[in-house]
Amino acid sequence: MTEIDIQQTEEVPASTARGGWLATGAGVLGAMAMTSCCILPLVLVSLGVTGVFIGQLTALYAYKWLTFGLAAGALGYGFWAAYRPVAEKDCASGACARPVERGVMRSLLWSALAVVLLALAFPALAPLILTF
Amino acid sequence: MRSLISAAALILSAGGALAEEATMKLDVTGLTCPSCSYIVATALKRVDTVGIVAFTEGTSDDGTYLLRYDDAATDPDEIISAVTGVGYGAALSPETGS
Repeated sequence: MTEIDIQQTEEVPASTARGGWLATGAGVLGAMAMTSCCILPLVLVSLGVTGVFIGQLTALYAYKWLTFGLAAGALGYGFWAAYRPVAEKDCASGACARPVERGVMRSLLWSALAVVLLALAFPALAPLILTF
Repeated sequence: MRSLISAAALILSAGGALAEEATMKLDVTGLTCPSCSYIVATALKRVDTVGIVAFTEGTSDDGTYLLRYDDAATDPDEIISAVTGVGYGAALSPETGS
């Protein structure tokens, strides 16, 4: 039996990187959508912003599982693209994303995940941290 | 001089007596999310002298606030406007006595 030594790299093929960036963008947008129903309007009103749009934003709460599904799917693909090990030979053509870009992608993905989890936990946390 | 100070004190105390603390119950609709009741509460507390005594959550995305306010400083219309201004429905509760 022959052992094959596969060298791995932090770089990813350009097509995967492009998909990863799209997924990261979708994940960040999904995270923002999840906060738009509850956390964002509360922050805006606390800062003195008023307007009928506040009530319209909170109506988005009815779609929270839809936005969660989209955000979770996008983040899942984004994490796969950002962390999947890539064989060095796949980057031989030079068409790979730079490691530093992968680091930025990972930071964005973790931040978006934190926001999504916060938005999910908010209904349980709200009575504990907010008062009338 | 002393009589002048006494007169001023009398006028000020009479003015204070004119301002009366009132209470009202406000029915609010459209409380569709976990933070909605807090958003409305924040908008209400921004109205001068308004304080929230109690909040009772309704059964269908609504709720009732028991409010205390100084009727010399504000009135129910201004309080209702504060709530409708952030996109929620508001009306004086039929249970409001004063």
